Amino acid sequence: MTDIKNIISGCLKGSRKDQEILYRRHAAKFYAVCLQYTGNDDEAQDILQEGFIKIFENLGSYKYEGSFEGWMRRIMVNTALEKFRSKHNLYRVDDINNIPEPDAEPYNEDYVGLEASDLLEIIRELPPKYRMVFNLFAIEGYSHKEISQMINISEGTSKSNLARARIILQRRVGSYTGLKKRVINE
Amino acid sequence: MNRQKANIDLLFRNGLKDYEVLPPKESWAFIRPHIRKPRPMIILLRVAATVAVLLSVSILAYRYGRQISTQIENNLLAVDEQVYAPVIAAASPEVVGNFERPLASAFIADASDQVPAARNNNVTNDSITAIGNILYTALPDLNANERNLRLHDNTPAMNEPDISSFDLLGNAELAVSEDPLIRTTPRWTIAALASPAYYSRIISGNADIASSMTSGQQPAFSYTGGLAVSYKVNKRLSVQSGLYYSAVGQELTGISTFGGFREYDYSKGGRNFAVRTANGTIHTNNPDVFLRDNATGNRVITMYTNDVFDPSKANLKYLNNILHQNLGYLEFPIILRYKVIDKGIDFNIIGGVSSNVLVNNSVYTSIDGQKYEIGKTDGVNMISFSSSVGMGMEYNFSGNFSFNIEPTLRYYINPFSPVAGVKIHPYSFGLFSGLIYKF
Repeated sequence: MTDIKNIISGCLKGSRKDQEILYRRHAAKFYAVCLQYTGNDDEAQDILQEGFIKIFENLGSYKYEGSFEGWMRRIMVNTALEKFRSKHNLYRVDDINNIPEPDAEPYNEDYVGLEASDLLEIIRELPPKYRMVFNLFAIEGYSHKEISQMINISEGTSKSNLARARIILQRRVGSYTGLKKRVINE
Repeated sequence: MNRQKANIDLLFRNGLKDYEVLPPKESWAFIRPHIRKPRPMIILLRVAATVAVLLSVSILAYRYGRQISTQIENNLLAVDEQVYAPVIAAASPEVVGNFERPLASAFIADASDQVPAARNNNVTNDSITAIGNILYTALPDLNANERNLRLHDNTPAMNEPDISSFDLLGNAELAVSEDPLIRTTPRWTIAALASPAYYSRIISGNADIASSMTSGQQPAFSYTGGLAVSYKVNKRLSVQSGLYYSAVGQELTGISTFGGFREYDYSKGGRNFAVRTANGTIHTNNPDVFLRDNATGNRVITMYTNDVFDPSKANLKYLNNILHQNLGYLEFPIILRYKVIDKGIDFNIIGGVSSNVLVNNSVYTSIDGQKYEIGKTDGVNMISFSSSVGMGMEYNFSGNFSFNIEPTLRYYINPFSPVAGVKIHPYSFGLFSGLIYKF
């Protein structure tokens, strides 16, 4: 804690060295978060950059209450939300019927060996509105009421988006694990 | 075998929990130059620190200035009176009787130093006449009673070039010209000044209202510029007035602007949306504009709520997520300026008040650098008053021209717009600089 306090203190004084330490320490983790919130690599990079700029500009308001990483993550997620809001009317929602049926309904043991990079790819393939609701609900732990306020949709829409996101993910994971099994068997 | 269906939420949450992906190398290179200075709270502390430093420097400068002044006076008064006493007696007993003796001694001591220089040391027998000339030259600066002290009714024709002024009313010091030519001290100055300004506000009252009135609002670039005229009352004090234009602004983030709403606007009134801000309530006057608060959800007041109208379904064009709220004022300041150090670089303490008349009121968003009109802020006071304190440094680079820098803290006595439940007093910190011409 003292270490991070020193780094924060250095950042507040404008120390480039401490700013870079803070960035290097957390960039990889937050870049994965940014990728999780968008299907586009360039956009993920934009979110990461804007998020870190906000973190540095708002460090003075961090009160050392709760996890510092959690505080930074909220800023990253909010930045992703802002990006989403600015573009959401341009996003189209895929027809759920276009998503292929899985080879089999997945069970827990099917996921053994499924790597984080696979999960990331699967989540990034979701339509943006479904991906945003799934991320906010399943990963970040927000309620439907909070999500409805965050992305300006009704609670009912949030619930239905989540349900659809889950169906798509189930199918894609099922297809993915089925494909893997076939590859292994062959 | 008990095959349990997977919880897809847990699968992704746990699977991605500690996942890391190295970002592109150029990311840090992009972030680094964009890191701005810390936010208002820290800036506020820095402004306070700067003011404290300025006050400290001013006090030191004032004390230093007084010391120099006292030393000069003491040196003048310390001149051996005996050397010049006979001259005074010979010159005019009336003078000795009416002026304080040390002052007269000092005056004569200095005058005696100067007159020979101007007349090639040919002083001895002409000194009485010379002194008479000197005093007579100085008489216009004296008040009516002092004019009764005229030395000679039959004063010969003036030899004015020797002495320029004699300021008894100001500091009781002699101002003897070092230049044998006539020199008059310029009393008037005209200056062209400009200043970038950082605006913020002090808010007191209901915390909830204050929070809702100020959320998502960032100060925008502000500036002040104009012409100032000042009159020098005495050696140290001057009064300044003039005409400035100041632009004050703030940015409202989290409010999405859409274009193309005109065809859906069944009220055809234009003022479809209101946005509450600390500077007043923005009303749209562009019927093509649709606004939606994406952040707090309660800043935009409209009948076109989310359940009534969805801009994405209507395929409105998204324009921007930031509103620019600008107010322009013509300022008429009255500022007192006290010179604490009068050297090659002068130091001044300044303070005054200003009345500000609203002349510009606009709200816009921008698309690709182009302004897109939204409306204006209602309820803004047509006239507001501000007070200012600061310290100036003035560098004289020629007889008539100088350059000055004045860090100035300005506090608005009344808010731009009254808000029920809270008191909002804007303040600004600016750095005035400009050219001064003396005449």
